[in-house]
Parts: sequence; structure tokens; C-alpha cells
Amino acid sequence: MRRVLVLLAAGLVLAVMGLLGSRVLGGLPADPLLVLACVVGAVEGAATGARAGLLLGVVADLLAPPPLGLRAGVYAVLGFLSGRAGSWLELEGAVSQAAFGGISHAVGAALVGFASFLLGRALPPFKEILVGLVQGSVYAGLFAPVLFYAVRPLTSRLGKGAFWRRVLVREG
Amino acid sequence: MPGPDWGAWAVKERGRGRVALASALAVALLLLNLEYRSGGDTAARLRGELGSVVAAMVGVAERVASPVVGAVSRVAQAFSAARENARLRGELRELEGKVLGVQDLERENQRLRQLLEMRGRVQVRTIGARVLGLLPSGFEWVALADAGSRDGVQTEAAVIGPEGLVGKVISVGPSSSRVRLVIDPESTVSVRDARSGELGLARGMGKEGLTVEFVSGKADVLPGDLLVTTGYEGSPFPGGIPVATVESVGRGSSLGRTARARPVAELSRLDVVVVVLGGPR
Repeated sequence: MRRVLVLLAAGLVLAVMGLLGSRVLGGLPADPLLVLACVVGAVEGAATGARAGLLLGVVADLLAPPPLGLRAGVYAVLGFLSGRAGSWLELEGAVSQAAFGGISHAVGAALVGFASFLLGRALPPFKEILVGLVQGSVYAGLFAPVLFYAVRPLTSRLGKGAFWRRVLVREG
Repeated sequence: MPGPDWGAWAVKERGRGRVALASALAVALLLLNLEYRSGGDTAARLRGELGSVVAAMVGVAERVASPVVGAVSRVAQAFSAARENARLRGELRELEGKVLGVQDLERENQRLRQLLEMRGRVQVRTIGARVLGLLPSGFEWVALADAGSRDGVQTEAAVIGPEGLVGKVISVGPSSSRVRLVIDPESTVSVRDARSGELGLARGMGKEGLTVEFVSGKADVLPGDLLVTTGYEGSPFPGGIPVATVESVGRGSSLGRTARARPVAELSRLDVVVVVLGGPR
């Protein structure tokens, strides 16, 4: 429960920072909640990633226009996949973390767009979508290492997760 | 003493992952079902509450950030006060900051004057609101504003900026509302060419602006023409509000004529807006 509350608070803080950042940058093409779900997955494993993705996706859904549940599902899948990828990827350096953040955001945003389209939402022209995906990935890549930096000590304090077990395996 | 069995742990972890994903997807589907079954009422209520929480948090963050920035700069100044040179530099920075602050206030003043002028054009009741930010997305253009149902804001209400139409309210919370901008692909606005009177329908195209479909293939539309809202009966938008300026005009056909237009409102730096409450002033 404590972890859920911490994640919820972190999600809300990131949402507020995203809003404030959008005022400075004239719009923010990257969703920090999606990147956080992927980072939690990569650090904590697939099971926690899926749960964190669901929770952060619900927050994102409640902030965005309807329908509720769309981002929840997509972020859960992304959290799960990040957990799987995180067990065999070396995500120790800032560059690999940035690349991971950028790629996972592009995949997640494309999935959200595709799911929205399937649910009957109008999409911008294809060129605009591509530009949005690239811009989103760049922004996500910029703040992914910061989230890795913040999530690791937090999870170690709240209970050792997959990341620490992997470190132990490597060291052992 | 034997170490932990990491192989068994990995198999167990994989199983836990699959179960967690299946449960998460089930919950997501349940939420989607709830949204469509309840006509969005429950979700809209939750959305409104969370919007108000986030709006309050943005307010607190703004209030907290400015004293923190001030305190940090004061501490820095205290450290450098020992040296005359640093003090002078600090004073210079402060003066520069004041000049920037004055410029910022002047800009805000000008935009508020423009907004008042725009408000004067609308013969219905309105309320002022502040835009808290744009929701992060590459496909949707939705803003969060700090006026809600407590202020009389309703869904479908028109939102107008100092330069012209910004969008319309799509959901309302107690003290916040979400505004779909005119450039959002889901947005459509009935427009009239202010010069020729030709009628058309403007659709959002994201950052590319708007595409306007005119009914007649021989529609008299020229680049630079101002497009304003038609204000037909039942429309959420009052008539005569500037929407966009025509950038280019396509060839006409039997199906009509299409033009590209750029919104007049500065959507990338929205700060103050008015929300139309309806009813005469």
C-alpha cells in the first residue's frame, strides 16, 4: 500500500511538472507517466512494471480526454515489457537509460495512438504523428536517466526489487 | 550455507509477471467498459476531481517555486556579499531581473487588455480563467484551465483567448476544466470568411493548423483572409470570434474547396482566457 501511495504521489508530481513544463516549452510531446511506468518495470521487474503501468495509466487517463482505461492498458503492457527487457538489458549508464526511455516512449505513444484510432478517435496527419513520436522520444530520453536515478534509491528503501536481485546475481 | 536459488526465483518472477499483466489488462478493460456503460458519468466525476487536485498542486507548485528561487538567490547573494565585485554583479543581475519582470508584466498587461477587448465583442456572460498547461501528448491538444463547475463553467463552453478562439470545454471538474484546442484533430468549428462571407468547416490538424472545407467549389477565399465563427443557433461558439487566417487555398472541385489556415490564438503560450458561460450579459 505504501508503494502504491508513493507511486501515486510520484505520478501526480510528474503530471504537475509536465503541465508546468508544457507552459515553458509550448507543449510537451512526452508523457512522463509513461516513462515512469517503463523505468519502474525495468528496475523492479515485469510484475511490478505491469501494476505500476496500470496505476500510472489510470492517472494519465483521468488527466486526458476519454476513454478511461486506454492508457491504463497500454502502460501496463509497456511496464510488463520493460520488466522483461530490463532483465537482459544493461541499463547502467545514462546513455543506455536515455535510449531505453526514448524507445519505450515511442512504442507506448504509438500504441496509445493506435488504440485511440481503433476506438474511433481522429488522428493528425501521418507526418505530424511521426514528428510527435520523434519529439516525444527525445524529451523522454532526456528525463529517463533522472527517473532511473530517482526510482532506484526509492525502491531500495521500500523493499529490494528485481534490480537489486540482478545486481546480487551479477556480484555473486 | 547454500545461496538463494535464483533460477527458481526467475521462473516464479516470470509467472508473477504474466499474472500481473493479465490482471492489469482485465482492470483496464473493466474501466473501458465502465466508461462506455455509464455514458462517461463516473469517469467524468473522477476526472473532474483529479483535475481539481492537479490544478491545486500546480497552484501550490507555483507558489512554492517562487520563494524557493528567491531564497536560493538570496543565499547566493549572502555568500558573495563579502566581495564588492560580486555584490555589484548581484545588483546588476537583480536589476536585469527587475527589467525582465517589468517586461513580463507589460506583456501580461497587454494580453489582459487584448482579452478585455475580445470579451467586449462577446455579448454573453463570460468568466476569466488561467491555463495551467497543456496535457502531454503528441496526438491530442488539450489544456487544463483553473475554472470549473463552481464558477459556472459547463461542457461545450467556448474558450476565447486575447487573439481569438482557443477551443471548447470538454470536461468540467469542481475547480478545473479541460479545453480541447481548435487544432486538435477531434475539433470542428463552423467558420465564415470575414471578407467574402463564404461558409466553411474548420478541422484541427495538430501543429499544422487547420484545414477548412468550403461548401462551394468556387468559394471566394484568398490567402490572408480572416475566418471567424458563424455563431449559428445551437453552436457553442458566439459569432464573429476570430478563429484563423487562411494560409493557402486549394483548387475547387464539385465537392467543394479546401484551404489551410493558421489559428490566430497563440496556442503554444496560452496563459489567460475567457470561458463563455452562456446567457446575455
